[in-house]
Amino acid sequence: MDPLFLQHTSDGILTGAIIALGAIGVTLSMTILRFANFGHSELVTFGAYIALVFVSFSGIGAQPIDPFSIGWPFFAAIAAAGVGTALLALATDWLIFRRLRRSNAARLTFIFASFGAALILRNLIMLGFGASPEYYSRELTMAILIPPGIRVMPDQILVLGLTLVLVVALWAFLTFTRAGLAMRAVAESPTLSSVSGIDVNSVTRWTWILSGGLAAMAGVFFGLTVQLRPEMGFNLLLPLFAAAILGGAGSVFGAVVGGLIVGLAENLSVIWISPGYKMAIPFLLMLVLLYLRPHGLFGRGER
Amino acid sequence: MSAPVLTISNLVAGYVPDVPIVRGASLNVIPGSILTVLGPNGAGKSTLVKAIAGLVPVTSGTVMLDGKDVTSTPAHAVAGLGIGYVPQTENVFTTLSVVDNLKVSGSPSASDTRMAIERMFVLFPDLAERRRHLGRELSGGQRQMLAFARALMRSPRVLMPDEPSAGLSPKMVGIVFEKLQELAATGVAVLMVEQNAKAALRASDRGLVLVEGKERLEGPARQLLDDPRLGELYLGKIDEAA
Repeated sequence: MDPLFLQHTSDGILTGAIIALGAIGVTLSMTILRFANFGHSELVTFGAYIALVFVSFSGIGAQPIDPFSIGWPFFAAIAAAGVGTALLALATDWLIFRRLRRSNAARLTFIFASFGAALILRNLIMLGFGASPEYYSRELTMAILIPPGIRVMPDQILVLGLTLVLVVALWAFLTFTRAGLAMRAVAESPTLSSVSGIDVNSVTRWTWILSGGLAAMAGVFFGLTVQLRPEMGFNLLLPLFAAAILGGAGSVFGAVVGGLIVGLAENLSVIWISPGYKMAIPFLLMLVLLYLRPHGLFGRGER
Repeated sequence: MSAPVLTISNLVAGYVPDVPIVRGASLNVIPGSILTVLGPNGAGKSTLVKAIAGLVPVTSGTVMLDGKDVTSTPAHAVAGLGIGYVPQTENVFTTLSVVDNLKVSGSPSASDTRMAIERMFVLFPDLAERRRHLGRELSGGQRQMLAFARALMRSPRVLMPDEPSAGLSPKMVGIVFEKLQELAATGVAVLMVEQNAKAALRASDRGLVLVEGKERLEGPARQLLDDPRLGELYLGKIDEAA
């Protein structure tokens, strides 16, 4: 097979995995919190920068683990980013969305409030770190050559592996644990959930924690394999929503498949058309798919 | 007659402040017996049980469970305290399997939940056969049984089905009412809302007619069945002053 095609496929899978992590959070908030959270992209950015702060404090003396560009402290940084971003997500809920829920605000109000929160968060990052790109590590690493000619960076393989672990862990959580089942129950019917003894407020908090944590992972992985910029999350926002909608709102599996489709479509399209148009490809796909399947690949219509 | 497990006194409740739908209703439910609340459309029957379940705001009056005031307790806490409410529609999780419906409705203790699920499968053998089926794959009757089982997971003192016979075939209605009698025989108090007055009263110990949010007629079910006032209240022939 054409090596160029294979190279773009491998890049697409990596981009897709990162998009999938972010899209899971989007799909969870669409069905459990019941609004399109446009602030989700800034959780991605915050996660990436929290890890950067952690790395720059602990990075001294940290030897990279061959063949990766990062050392052991980086794994602590990933954990810190997850926890910090989950707390930030909880704080935005406490400050903004909890109040809107109490006053029974319209869904559009939630969406606009999330836009506002996104603007504030993005500009805070800009204020703190400036607009120029940052990197976790300036170590040079050697690409691994996979026959017949695909080049993959060791960091990329690490990111793919970690993403796989996270997705499987999330699937197990939603399938086997009571808390995970409670999240799926609230996604279907908050009223029936509450008369079944499920504290909907507590499920709401767990949803923020999970989607914040996963957004942070997406941000850190993007930062590691590309670079950190204050608008990195914002640039991912539309692909995240495209992936979530493609997969079908509410379906975690759908978000993963949607993420991979968006990542592959963006990367493979450059073989045939100018890279300037690659952002548009996922939307073209989304339009076609929604025409054929209005509820996405794995979504269900009625509730 | 044993002491009531659930006592409602002068309950006023409604979705919007200043627009009461339940207007000073009072009733007692005795352990091991079935009390059916009847009444014309819009009498506030469903709102009454929803207010008890913690889903509709209570303006005044009290809900006492086992001598404990549970008025205005959040719905999820009411479920934990021992009131099992079965909504009329959307009463099972259609996207979860039968066993997950039960698991998610169980107590926080995993071993208690496991035991409760086994109990439910003995009580409802049909569900045991379909434990891996999704809620949406069940027939109307099976769905109603799952709705009961879901509400029974926390071993409630009071079970409150809202129109359990709605949308079921006559044969299934009989089975559902038999099941409720079987449950009552184990000591559970049943407070049921029904439109299907005759069939419900035949299965009940007592009946109560709610009109405009307040009880107008109460008595042993057999007596109510023959009471001409029952039909008149339904048709609105007895006016406010009566």
